[in-house]
Amino acid sequence: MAADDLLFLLTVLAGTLMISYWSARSRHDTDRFYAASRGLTGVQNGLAISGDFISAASFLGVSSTVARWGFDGFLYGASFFASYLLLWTVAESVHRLGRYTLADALDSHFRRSWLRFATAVNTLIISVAYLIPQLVAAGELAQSLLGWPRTWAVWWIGLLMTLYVAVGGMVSTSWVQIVKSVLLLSTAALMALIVGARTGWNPAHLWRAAVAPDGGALLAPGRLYDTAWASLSVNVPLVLGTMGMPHILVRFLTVRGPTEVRRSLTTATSALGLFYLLVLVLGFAAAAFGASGASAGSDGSLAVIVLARRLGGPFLAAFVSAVAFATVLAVVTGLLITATGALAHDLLHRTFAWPPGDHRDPLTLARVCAVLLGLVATMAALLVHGPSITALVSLVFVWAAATNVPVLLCTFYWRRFTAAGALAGMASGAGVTAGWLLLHACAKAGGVSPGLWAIGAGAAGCLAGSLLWPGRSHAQPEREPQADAAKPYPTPPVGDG
Amino acid sequence: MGALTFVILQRSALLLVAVFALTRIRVFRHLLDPADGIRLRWLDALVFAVFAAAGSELGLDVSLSGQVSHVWHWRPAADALRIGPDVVAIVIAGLLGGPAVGLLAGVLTGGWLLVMGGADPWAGVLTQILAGGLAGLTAHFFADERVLAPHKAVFVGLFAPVLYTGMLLVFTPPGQVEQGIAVVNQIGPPLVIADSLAVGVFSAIVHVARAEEEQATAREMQRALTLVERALSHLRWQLDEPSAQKLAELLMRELRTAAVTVCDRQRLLAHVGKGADHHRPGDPVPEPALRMLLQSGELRTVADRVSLGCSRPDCPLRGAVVVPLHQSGEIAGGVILYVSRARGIRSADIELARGLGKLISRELDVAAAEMLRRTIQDMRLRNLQAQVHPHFLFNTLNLISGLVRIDPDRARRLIVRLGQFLRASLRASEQRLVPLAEELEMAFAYTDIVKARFDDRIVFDWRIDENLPSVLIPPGTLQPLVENSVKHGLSVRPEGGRIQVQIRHAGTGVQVEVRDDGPGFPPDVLYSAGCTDGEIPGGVGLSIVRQRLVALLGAESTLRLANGPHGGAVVWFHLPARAKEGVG
Repeated sequence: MAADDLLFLLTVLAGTLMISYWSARSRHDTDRFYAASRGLTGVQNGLAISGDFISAASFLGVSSTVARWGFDGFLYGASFFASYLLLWTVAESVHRLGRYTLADALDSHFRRSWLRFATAVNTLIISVAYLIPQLVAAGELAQSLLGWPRTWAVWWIGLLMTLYVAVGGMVSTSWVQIVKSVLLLSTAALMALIVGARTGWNPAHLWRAAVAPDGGALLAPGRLYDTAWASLSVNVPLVLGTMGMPHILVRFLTVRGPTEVRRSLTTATSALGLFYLLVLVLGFAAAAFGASGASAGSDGSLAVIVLARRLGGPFLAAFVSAVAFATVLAVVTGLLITATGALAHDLLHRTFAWPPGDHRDPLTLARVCAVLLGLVATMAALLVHGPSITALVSLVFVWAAATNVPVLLCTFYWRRFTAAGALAGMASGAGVTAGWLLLHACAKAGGVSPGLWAIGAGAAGCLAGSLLWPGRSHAQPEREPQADAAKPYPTPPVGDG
Repeated sequence: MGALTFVILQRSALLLVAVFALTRIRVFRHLLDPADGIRLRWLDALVFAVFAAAGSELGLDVSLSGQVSHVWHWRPAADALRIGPDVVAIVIAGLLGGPAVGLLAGVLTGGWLLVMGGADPWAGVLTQILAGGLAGLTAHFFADERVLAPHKAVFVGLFAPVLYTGMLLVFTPPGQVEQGIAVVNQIGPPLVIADSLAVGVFSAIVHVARAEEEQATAREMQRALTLVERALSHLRWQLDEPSAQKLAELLMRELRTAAVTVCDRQRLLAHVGKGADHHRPGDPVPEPALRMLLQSGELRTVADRVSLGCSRPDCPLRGAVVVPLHQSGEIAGGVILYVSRARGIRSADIELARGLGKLISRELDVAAAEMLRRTIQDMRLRNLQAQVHPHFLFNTLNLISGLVRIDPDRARRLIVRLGQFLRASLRASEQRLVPLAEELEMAFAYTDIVKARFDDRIVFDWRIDENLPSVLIPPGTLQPLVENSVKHGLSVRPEGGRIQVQIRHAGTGVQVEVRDDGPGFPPDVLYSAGCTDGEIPGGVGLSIVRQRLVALLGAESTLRLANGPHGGAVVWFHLPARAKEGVG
């Protein structure tokens, strides 16, 4: 490991640890732990959203895919951005209904504790299942960047993530994400500028250089996916799955008021739009500068790093690596706090009223849960091996898209939607995905992604459930918590004498 | 890498030492406060740009081929990069002053770098501008902190060199890409280490300077509070000459102005300091100052002699701050702080004077309210006292109507005495304090009437010292005591008795004592005799007398009660020599 690498890596670690320490110094309660006391400004939250949203899969993955597969890769990146745009449809409602978690939002709408239970379990599954491939990817990144043994790398990242969450809760998570977001954007911008300088500030030059190695085939569709159906099956769950990702949705609970929600969405839209544009440039640049393919790691996912080395030597590469590392850290931290919220707040605290008695506070419970989940996810990540992570990630997206998205959309936009429908939707989406997984595992056969089928099943479940059991749990009009307190004053009895 | 890091750190240290030395200068420390005026923003940006230029001059020259020159040149060679702590100052400018100051300082420094030349000057220029603006935005982001803590500043400072190397890569001419990358990798890590450390230390220096400045402010505050406390203790009751004199002396001592005047609405009450030869207490207030006081009711500063309105052309006073003092919503007077130089008034002192004026006004209000309270209490007491009289009046009138036929002469004399008595008691309800002699007149008139009524069964024994000092007494004090002795002391002794009134020297004052040979006070009355205030059981009259004495003359003049060694009741009180005339 070069001194440059160590320098930047240590700085990023020191910086993020400092954030945790600084946010831990102020007094904590559950409100602060889960929702940063709703104290973030719209701009801060917008940056945190993009920090939460841009995973290593986006930064490293999309640029590599663009570099390698051209048009199909671009579509892949565009899906990420499009998926974000869909968040506009649910963000305000989640903010309005939710307190700490996604289950809070659904529960305050339907007032069914079994629905809270189901949502919390689903959140836990999604978050942990997404956490594991992120940790694996982070381990591989650290391995190939810094030359650490993979086991060590995963342990370190798992430990850091656990530390940020357990110590600083949502506050430190948010700030890690904000810092990462700013770093990532400026780094990508800087690299794009250098690319611009190298290609004479002429996009056409870049284009030509990128296309040259393959004789122009890079820009044609169909390099990655054989059929349109395959492309849709990968991209539709990607587009919809983000909307079902609890760790993205809880970010709308950390601001105060719908204005700030909209402002954070605006900020995040600008940041993400800029980012995917830059990533596109970097991806083509990677192709143009010969940074893709065999030179870019075992699966070619390190194209950006290799590009940085081509553009500015080990110094720039070290800096970009550190930023990539921060990216990974920010995302896993966001996932862990969401999983912690589902386990500690929804399941243990609200559903099972645990810990019993009132001598243990929910905050300690949350911290213990964070540590436990962090350890479990880290150990699970050690068991999973490299090539399967892409499959795992897309499976998680399919799962989230199938279970959460139809339920959320129906909840917020369909008046006759019922709690039974919500449960049926979740169950059918989960069932189809799991069934496909089993089938796939037994048959050992490659095939198209189950995405479209699973989402369809989820939507059908919502529809069927609501229509079959309409009376039992009709959607109640939302009740303001203050409604009880605002009863009219009793009028004094009128004497009859 | 290590050697280069070390050299750059040394150069940065030179800059930091200079900065530290400059922060010892008070004026400079003021610049470190986030300025809100446009002029100061320019000044701030300029100062930091000068620092940045100095940092650039302290830098090393690194040629594109990687040669490091340790020899100092005014300008870098055409193929050499200036590597120095220049961007450190710009980052600090942004962190302290926000995006505007950072950007401005960056632009100014960029101009300087362009003038100096060297290889790829535009990389440096853009770095300075971007670093200033971005650091400012960062400071905005951490808006809850006035100055970013040094350890956070280190983190921010880290990215300036990365920006610079990135810009170098952008601006490297296409033919020299390989060289450019090599140089970037040569200077990148040392610059990152040196610059981030320098930013941290710079921020720490600013922190220390700020803390000192705040301590100075705290001391100033402490001084102001002490001053106010002392000033208020002088002004317990009202704006008169002695308290004005003390106030003026205090302000003179604490504010160190050329002179201090305290005045009421017409004339000077006190003047201390320069120009005391023609600004004397009792003089009318100079017309312009008076107009300022009475018209605006606000604090005004006067910076020229003419507006000061002093009649003497050789008056050493050149300017003033006129602070009005209010009492009960009206302007009661003012404090004028004079200076001998037109611009000799610090704004901190003006603020202090303004606050002081408000506090003194409030104290005057309190005093006025207190005076009102005492007046009301006094009126209540006099009303109570007036209730005693009707019985006496009817009895006396009955007596006179009886005597008119039997003894017209005596009846006539009695009518005259009654008239005198009534006149005296009328005066008692109008005045607070009267000379003791007048009060004695009233008591004599009363005893004459009583003697007529009781057919000389009562013997009055007046023992009055010669050459008594002139003392004041609340009117209607002595007579009720005598009346009390008559009623309680003699009503049980039909054969009559003896009442002795002694008025004698006691220290510098006078002691008044009334004693009878009746049964004396019952024990429960005596029980309360040790108290200086409060009700006396069974004696409304005595209670009223006691309350008036205490209210008007102070606790040491309270009415004291005892039983004499041979029986009989004794009451006495003390009148101070020079009663606090006009106070109560």
